[in-house]
Amino acid sequence: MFGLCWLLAAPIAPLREGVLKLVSETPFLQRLVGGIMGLDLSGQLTLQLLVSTTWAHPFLLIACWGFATLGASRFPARELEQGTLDTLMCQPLSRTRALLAHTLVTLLGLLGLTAVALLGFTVGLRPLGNDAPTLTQMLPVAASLWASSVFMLGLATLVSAHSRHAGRVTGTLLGVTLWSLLLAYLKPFVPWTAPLAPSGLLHYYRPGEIMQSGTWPLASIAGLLAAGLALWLLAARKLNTRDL
Amino acid sequence: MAKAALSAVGLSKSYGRRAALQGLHLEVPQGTICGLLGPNGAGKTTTLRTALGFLRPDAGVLTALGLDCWRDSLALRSRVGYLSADMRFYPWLTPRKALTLASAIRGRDLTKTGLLLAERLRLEPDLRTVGMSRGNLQKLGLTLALAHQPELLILDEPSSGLDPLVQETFAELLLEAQRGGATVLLSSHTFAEVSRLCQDVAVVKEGRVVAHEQLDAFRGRAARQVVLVFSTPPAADPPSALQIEHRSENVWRGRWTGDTGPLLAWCAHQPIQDAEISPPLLDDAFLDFYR
Repeated sequence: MFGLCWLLAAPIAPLREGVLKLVSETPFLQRLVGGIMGLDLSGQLTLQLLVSTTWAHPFLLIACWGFATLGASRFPARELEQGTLDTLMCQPLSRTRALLAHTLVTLLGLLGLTAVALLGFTVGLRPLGNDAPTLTQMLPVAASLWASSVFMLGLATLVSAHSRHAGRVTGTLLGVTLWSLLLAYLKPFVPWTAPLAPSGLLHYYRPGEIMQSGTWPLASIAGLLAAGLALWLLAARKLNTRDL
Repeated sequence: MAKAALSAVGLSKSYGRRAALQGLHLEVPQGTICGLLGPNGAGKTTTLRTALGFLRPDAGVLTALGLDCWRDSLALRSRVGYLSADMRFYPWLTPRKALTLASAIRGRDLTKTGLLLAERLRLEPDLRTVGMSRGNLQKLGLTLALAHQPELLILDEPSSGLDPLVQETFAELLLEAQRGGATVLLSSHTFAEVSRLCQDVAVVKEGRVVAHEQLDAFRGRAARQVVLVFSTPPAADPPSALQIEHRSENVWRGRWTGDTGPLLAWCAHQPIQDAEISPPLLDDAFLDFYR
């Protein structure tokens, strides 16, 4: 994760002038980048906004959401698929407790992963010197990314609780990620997709807006966490009533 | 009659449209070793997994050690040892680490008793499960099932994959558990395993128990192969229980069901030159249920 974020951030310093010029002179790129960022870039693409595009890079999103999904797919779907669940669950361990233990491990892992991403970006952007966004500016973006991953964890846990195949959980990740990216890319060019935007995860994770405003997106973070928790509770309920 | 350690009344369970259990009745008396015998798909594993609270019955009641197997599953599992038919566990675990994990979950140290069991079963304590043979996985499963000295042992085809020497140790361990007051319910589709270990046998067919009796009673119902060789043709008619399948002048071949006393008494008054009476053909008797 550190390497990925460093690779995404490091080219910004040498290429910034050229990229900023290219985007400001190409309306198509302005609309495309603006769509992903959820911002109107018809004015000026700033360095801060350019940095924020790296926080919405599909590789980064797949790494974080994928980690959440793989963590959620492990219990119960993968354990059922691999046949290890009987040996674990014949111990006096409640289903909720087992699910909670798996979820906590993934949550902590996500926290670590986001922290490493933040570190990777910070180190990768050092060549920008004083122009580089500060840790304080990027921290709300990282928190928002973590919250979106927590939502994915909740959603994947719900699918896992219904399934006997880890592949279905991974399929959910691919579906949500593709849908979110597709909506973000289409929105600036296909007006009728605009009302569908709230069904994509990128509607709630907007690094450009956060870096531009410099404020914590508390409402969207709280919304993502609450939705993630609600999905997890539904998953726990399903797990407690299903056949293993 | 001893109190039941496990009792199933009208137990039904379906997987989609396929009925796995259809009103199964079963009582396993406390302190016995009871074998569930039946072909693949008869409902043995479903019964055992329902007893552990893995499956919720569609209808009927299943209790073990006085607890409802679904509702009180957590409390029940602290008193039960279980071995699944296809034992698997996390590939990075060794028997020693698996015992540490089980100790943490059960809240008491099982490593000492567990490692003693592993030694008796000739299981290497630091071998990772990823490299284990089926037999070794089975040994690990048995170690985990027995280490906490459960009151009820539920074993699904426990000795498959075990070599003959370890099967002996396994039999000893079950008898020791029984002497300690434990009840054992094990499933098998081979009669040899059940007849070696169990006092009680329940035959499961198409989701129902079609016969449940003590092994000795079952033995009494099984036919024996009989060959009688006479020096001269016998003077009297044979007892009616002897079903003669082949008769030549001096040699009779047939089947005898039940106590052999009357047959021997009849033979004593006949010009018998040679006689051969086989042990009860228990496999055939069990196979009759399957057909």
